[in-house]
Amino acid sequence: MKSKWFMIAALVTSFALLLSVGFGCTQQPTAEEVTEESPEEMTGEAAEEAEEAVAETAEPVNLVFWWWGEQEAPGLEGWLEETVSMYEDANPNVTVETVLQSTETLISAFKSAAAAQEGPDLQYFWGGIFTIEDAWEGNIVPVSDYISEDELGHYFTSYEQEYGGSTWGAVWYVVQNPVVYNKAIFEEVGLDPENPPVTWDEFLDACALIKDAGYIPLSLGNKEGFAGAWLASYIGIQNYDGIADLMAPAVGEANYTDDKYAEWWVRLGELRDNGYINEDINSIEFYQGQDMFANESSAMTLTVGSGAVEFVDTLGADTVGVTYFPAWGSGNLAGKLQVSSQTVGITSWSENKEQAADFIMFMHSPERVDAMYEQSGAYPADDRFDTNLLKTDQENWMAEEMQGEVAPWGENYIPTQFDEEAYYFGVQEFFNGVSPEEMAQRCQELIEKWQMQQPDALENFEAWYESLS
Amino acid sequence: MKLRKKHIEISLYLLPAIAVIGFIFIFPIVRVVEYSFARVKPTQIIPIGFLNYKILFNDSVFLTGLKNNMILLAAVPVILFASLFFAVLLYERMRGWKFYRFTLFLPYILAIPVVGVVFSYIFQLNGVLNFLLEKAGLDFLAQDWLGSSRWALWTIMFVVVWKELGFGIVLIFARLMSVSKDLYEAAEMDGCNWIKKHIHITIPQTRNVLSFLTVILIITMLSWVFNYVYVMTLGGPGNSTMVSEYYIYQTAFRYHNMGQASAAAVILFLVTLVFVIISARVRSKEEVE
Repeated sequence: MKSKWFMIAALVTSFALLLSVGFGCTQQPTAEEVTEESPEEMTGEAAEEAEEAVAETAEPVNLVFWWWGEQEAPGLEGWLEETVSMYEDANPNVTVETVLQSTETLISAFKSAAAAQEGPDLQYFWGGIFTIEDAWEGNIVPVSDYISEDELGHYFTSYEQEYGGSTWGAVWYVVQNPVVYNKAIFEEVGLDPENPPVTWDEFLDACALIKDAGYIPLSLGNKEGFAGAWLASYIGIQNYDGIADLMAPAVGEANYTDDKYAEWWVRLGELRDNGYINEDINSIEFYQGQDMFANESSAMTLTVGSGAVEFVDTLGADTVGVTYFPAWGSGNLAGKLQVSSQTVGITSWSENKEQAADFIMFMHSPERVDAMYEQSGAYPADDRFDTNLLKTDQENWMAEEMQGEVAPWGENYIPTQFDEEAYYFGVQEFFNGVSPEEMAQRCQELIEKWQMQQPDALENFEAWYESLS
Repeated sequence: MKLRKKHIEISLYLLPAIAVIGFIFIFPIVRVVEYSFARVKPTQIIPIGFLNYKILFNDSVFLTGLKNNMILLAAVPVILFASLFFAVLLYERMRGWKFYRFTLFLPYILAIPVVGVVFSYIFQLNGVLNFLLEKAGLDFLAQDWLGSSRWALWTIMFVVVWKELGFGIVLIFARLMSVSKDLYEAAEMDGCNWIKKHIHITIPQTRNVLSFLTVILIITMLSWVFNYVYVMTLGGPGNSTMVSEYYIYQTAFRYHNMGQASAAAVILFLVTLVFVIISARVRSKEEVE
């Protein structure tokens, strides 16, 4: 008798397990479904209604926010904790759980969450393609469906997240990418510390003087490959007139072996062959390369705006100069400060999209944007930020540059796979002795490989390119 | 009739366990194989036949990864030989053997990320190793161990050998402890020298352990080196330390190409399986003999 019951139990258990396997493998909603499921075409009215709905709701809400940024803006974590605490006080039914991601896991953890259709309500993204590709995959909904046009009008560099008539990421803070230089070293070697090199020839001459004096002209660490992509963005975009030029080879409208796209490898080769970049670039980490500048063994390095402020704290305001990368190219983007945006998106599976949008808007309240700068040095991507708060000349210089024409960040407009293969790995190989011509050829082969391997992404890129053109 | 009923009863008792195993092991494998023949979009799975495999065999990065896995297999005999050698030294109770036993096993219990980070600093161009070489007047030997495409894979191989050696030593040493001392005494009385003694006694006596260790090491070199690569080089410089596992990770989680990553996983699984089967066959043949 006992064994009969056991047999029945065994059968039921097995059946339940098999059923769970079957039901566990449900499909994700389509990208189209995600857009269709979104609220009606957003108008100011709809946004107001959404805000009212948020205010009226008394149901407990838990928002999960996966973010990154402490790495480039130390202090952001404290600001976010304070912001969450203030928001929870103002909205007693809401709790916000923040999870700081590492650089390595920022993308992969979110992709895993997206595959399971569960995870954060709010996700941090780097700008451009890093946001848009999740829109294509249906992992996020347009923030412009939940945040009014008026409010979004305050967020600058939003254009990086625009696709198909919607804005997919709410810009949180902007990242300026200057070249920092050591004024004391410049002076010591006979260079004018107040007038850093502007043209390529001036730059090469300056590097020669710095090297002769026993300093490393430009220090970088490329073990992880980031610096390779940075070099491609700083130096590689100077023959381009705009974002469309950056995207043209990906959609087959241009070729990486064309002079316009290949020439920057020659310029990088000049730096490599003359020993103007540290010889251990491939074996040290990105931040180790920047540390060489901090300990004054190099005269220049590449960094973000908040990184420049950190150098000011370390070396003194009188020692650190900021400038854009000296110009060699003939495109509109040459000789301009590069600016990109870090954004926050709302996930398609979030059950609290309106509340998530409300939290984004709270982060953008004038008091919060000012506090963010005060606590982290990150430059808020909001025109309500009081620029009188800027503490250093270096930040004021970057703010002034941003009033004029700035250049986009090159990495944000090329396929991620190509970025890694051509620039992360490619620049490493370049510093192992590959010729500029061979690198240009490899880039073309790699983009053709991407076109063949990722037909869906290519289709999306073509649509994006068309909209920009 | 009774026997058949008994079989059914036994099968039913086993069913829950089989269902659990099926869910944990068989379902993912079936799914990976299915994905390998498809283009996997967030919304649908489109069958595309062998296209993913065709693309893979035309992808120089994947082929480099496979080639590097094969090169890493060269570490297997090195670890086997070194493990046997050190285990014999410990077995012969050389002076301070307990300390050496601890020292040799220590790397195995260290976490790979810790080992990777430490060796990354040691092997930098301006790292500890080159500093010591310079101080010893051997600066001509200094290399950019992890930053040069020429040396990076061999450097990783060295770290893998250093780390995995402890496991082999302990395994062989444990087996040696149960070998009868009479065999060695008899061999000595017959006039066997040190090398002959170990060739004719130690190796045959530890054959099963060596076979087992070989299989484990083959699997390690083909499918468990991801951690070393991830922590020390991220597959670079260039693709010089790319291995199949890292290729699968990148393709799946960074390039979001699940179909191609699955095809690469299937190939890696089959390659590993072939090596394990060959090794098992050799082992069973030896046992028969």
